[in-house]
Amino acid sequence: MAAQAERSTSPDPEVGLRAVARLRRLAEQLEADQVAAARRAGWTWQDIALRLGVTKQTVHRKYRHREGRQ
Amino acid sequence: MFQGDEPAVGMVFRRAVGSARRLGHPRVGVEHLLVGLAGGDDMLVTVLARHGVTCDVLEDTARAAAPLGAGAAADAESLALIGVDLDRLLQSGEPCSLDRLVERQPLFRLGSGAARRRCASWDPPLGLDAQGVYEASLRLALARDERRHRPEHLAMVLVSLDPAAGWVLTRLGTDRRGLLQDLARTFPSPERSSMLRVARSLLRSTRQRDLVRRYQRTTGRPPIGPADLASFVAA
Repeated sequence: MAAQAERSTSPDPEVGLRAVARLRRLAEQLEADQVAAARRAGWTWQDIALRLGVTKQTVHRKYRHREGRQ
Repeated sequence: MFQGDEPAVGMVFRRAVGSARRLGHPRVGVEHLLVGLAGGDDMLVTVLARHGVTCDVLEDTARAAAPLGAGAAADAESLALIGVDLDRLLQSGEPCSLDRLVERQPLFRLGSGAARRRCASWDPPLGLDAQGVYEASLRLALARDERRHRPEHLAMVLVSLDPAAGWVLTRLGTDRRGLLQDLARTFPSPERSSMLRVARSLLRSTRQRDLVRRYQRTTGRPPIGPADLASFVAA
């Protein structure tokens, strides 16, 4: 655990913060891909929201505009 | 009045698409845009060649960055420093999943959605990194009070903001700062009337902030040297 913490902290805050900003965006893209895959597989917004730990309204508001664009 | 793109800008994109097709790459990224810029016949080519940025070496670098492109290669290097393996992270993803905007388009779109769809319909599609560079370059031309958008504006944005171009230049052993200064010296902001100079000076920081914010929103990548843009917009 300590080794992981050591690895994930860059000595240069400039480098570390830029990497974290990019990682946050990548995580959003991965989440969007997984939600789209779940919807294609017939999952309901409620099922998806439960797995993501958010409300159904949140996930619906965030991803409904992508329906039909996949 | 601003008159939009010079035909040379279209030629840069045509050469970039041609390069991606020739190399068999699935997308047109920043590395191909650099090939497009270096393959022209203007003053910019001379400046780039002075710093060792030529078509041949750029295509070799583009080959090394395939298939996800120089942007993903730059991401992989940066994320490795905090212990994240990008290749493993993207294993389940599709090759071009990095080229999809996650955020909703603004309600009042002014054609941005249609422009994105048009870029995605190119063969091969134009990557989000290249789209972000084009947008920022147009804004830079406006901030400089230029009449036309020209290839050197694309080069200025690539060298000052784009991490993928930074990755390519590092691989080529090019001094990014030296190239930046050479570009600023060779292509100074145009002389304008005192009224326009005052307006340019007053709006300079707002325009630069806006340019950087939109670039980051489109590409999802933090810019490498946002402050470097100031050297291209004279006070």
